[in-house]
Amino acid sequence: MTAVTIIITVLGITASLALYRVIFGPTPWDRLIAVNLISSKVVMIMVAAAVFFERRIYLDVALVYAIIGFVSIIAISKFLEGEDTDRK
Amino acid sequence: MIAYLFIILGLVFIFFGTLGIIRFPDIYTRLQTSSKCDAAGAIALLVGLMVREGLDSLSLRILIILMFLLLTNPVASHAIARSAAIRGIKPWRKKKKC
Amino acid sequence: MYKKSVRLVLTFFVLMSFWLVLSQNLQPASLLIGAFFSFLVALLSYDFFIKPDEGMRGRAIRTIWLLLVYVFVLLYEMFLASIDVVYRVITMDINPEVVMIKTDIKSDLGIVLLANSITLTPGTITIDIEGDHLYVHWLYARTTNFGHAAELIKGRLEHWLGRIFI
Repeated sequence: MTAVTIIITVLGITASLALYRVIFGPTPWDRLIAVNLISSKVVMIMVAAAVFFERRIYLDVALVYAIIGFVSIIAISKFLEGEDTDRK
Repeated sequence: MIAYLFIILGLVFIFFGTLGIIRFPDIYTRLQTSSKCDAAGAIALLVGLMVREGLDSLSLRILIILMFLLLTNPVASHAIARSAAIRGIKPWRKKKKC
Repeated sequence: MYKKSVRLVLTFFVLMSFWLVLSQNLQPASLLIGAFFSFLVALLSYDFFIKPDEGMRGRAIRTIWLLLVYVFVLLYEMFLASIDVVYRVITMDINPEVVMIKTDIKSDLGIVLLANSITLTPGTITIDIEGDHLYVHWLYARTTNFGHAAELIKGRLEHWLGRIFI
């Protein structure tokens, strides 16, 4: 067991714990919170892989993934807000 | 050694933050753990990885990712909480003992 | 408050430093391409990046210095808050309430930073903002009094932010 195996295993286990909330969450916002958590876990797994395996390209992938996750969270929560809020 | 200390601290924070969104009763309390513990855990983990790597171009890029996470995590939580509040989700309250 | 050329040059330098960090390449062709596109993007977007009436106090150097100090204050508060939340997760000892607090900061950027900091520090998230009133969800409400709650939530943070923004 090297250090990187432990780190990636713990992060993967927590991501699958959050998957419980994605599947059984009673409201859409619960699922959104859990998706936000999983996307930040994936970013951290990529950064850890980039540092331990000496692959610099993973860091660019992690940055782009973080940006896409943020924009999608904002877009979905704006969509869930409903149609009657932005109308003047 | 200091690097692994930071990494273990970050992993503990991340684990309890995820445990919180399973145990807590409603959206707002779940957002509390997901925003705070996740941001603190991410910062500790990434600082640990930066210390292990040393000062070079790789750790500069990790610093950019760190600042990005620190800026966007509260904004995402705020957007989720605001949309839930506008749709009329009531916060969970503790039952009064009387 | 700031002149147009100052905002343009500031935006250009921020974009150029991002290009340097991300490309990691000091050859003249790369530098030229980066400078050209940074100037183009800065010309299009400086008006969004730095608002014309941004209410900063004092000079730019002092602002940056205070912001660095503020980041460390925020990190310290954040780790205390996370330890507190971990304790609440284990014992399930929670008492959530929604309280309303009032802030003295006027500038938009200052209010955004204050709301983000409240979200990151002890047991509170900002739900909604109306003018200068913030609706805050509190994980373990010690009081529901208007003034006392505000003092407990934003005390040290607003003291530091008030020295940076108007």
